[in-house]
Amino acid sequence: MRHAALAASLSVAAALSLGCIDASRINRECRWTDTRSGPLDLDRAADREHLRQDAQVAWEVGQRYGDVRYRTQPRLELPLVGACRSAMFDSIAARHGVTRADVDRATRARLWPVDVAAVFLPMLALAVVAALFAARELERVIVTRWTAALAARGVLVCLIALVMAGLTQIWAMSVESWRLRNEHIAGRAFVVPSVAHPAIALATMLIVVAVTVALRASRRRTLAHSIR
Amino acid sequence: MRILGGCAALVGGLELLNVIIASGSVGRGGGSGTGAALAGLVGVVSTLLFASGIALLVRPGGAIGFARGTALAVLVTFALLAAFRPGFSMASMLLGIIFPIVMLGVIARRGARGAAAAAR
Repeated sequence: MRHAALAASLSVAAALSLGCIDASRINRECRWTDTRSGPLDLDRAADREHLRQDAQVAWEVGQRYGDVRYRTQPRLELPLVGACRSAMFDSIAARHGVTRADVDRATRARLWPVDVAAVFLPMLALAVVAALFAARELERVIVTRWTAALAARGVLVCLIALVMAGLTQIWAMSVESWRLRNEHIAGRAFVVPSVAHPAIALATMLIVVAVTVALRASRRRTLAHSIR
Repeated sequence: MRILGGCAALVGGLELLNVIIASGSVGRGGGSGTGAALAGLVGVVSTLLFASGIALLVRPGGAIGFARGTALAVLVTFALLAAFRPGFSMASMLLGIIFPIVMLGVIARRGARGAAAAAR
């Protein structure tokens, strides 16, 4: 168990360090910095990754440009952020010979291995642990009538799945915040996969928790039969 | 139970304060109707949590049922909010999920201890 926790912590740390934004390119003056110019070939993975990083930096620079001026006044901040981002996206498109649609797509692109290692796997593992713990607690107070036991397990599965789906969103946004090195991720939250697809996140948790609880119940039944 | 009551009143008060400040801030930017409804819902469950904390402080033994129901309502509300509309502050959502779990755990443990004492 201790080895598993250590391995999980190391994989999260490695994933976070790989997926972080280039802090040297971030500023609050809406100033564009890039060491590379020239056209990008979007059929090449390295060029797609460069465009993704450019789009992420442009998004973040725009956000900080607005935050430093009108952070608590969205009505004043949004036009400022929009204008800064738009100028930067145009600059990226002109510098790298790509279209605005390519840049817009790149703002939503993800480093999937980082999301999987830093968010999905740890939260699914936590869901399994939470389901096992809650199922064990339920067995202590469970009633003997099978219908009532089934109903209690059903309620437990729904509740744990819902709580874990909520915690997944919080964790995913925290990870995004660390990767951007900014606690105010604002609209960037809706690019995070679990936030963009909340129903899928909840359904996955529901399946994982239900399977865990069912497997535990079945194992207990088998043990009880073998003892008899 | 009094310590739990004090914590519940504190957390409920903090959540209520947070939702009032957040509504004021978003309201200045022209918030949506759904956002206002969600803020209202969070306001109601935060008030309930605050009230259950006060009830636990005043009548530790008699308010357990109310506190349990409130903790469940707060847990479901904040978990739903975090899962589908994660727009509130992360600290507020985390507190709104973790605290009711702790509260339910403490109440269940106390219930089990009471039942064991009654059996003896």
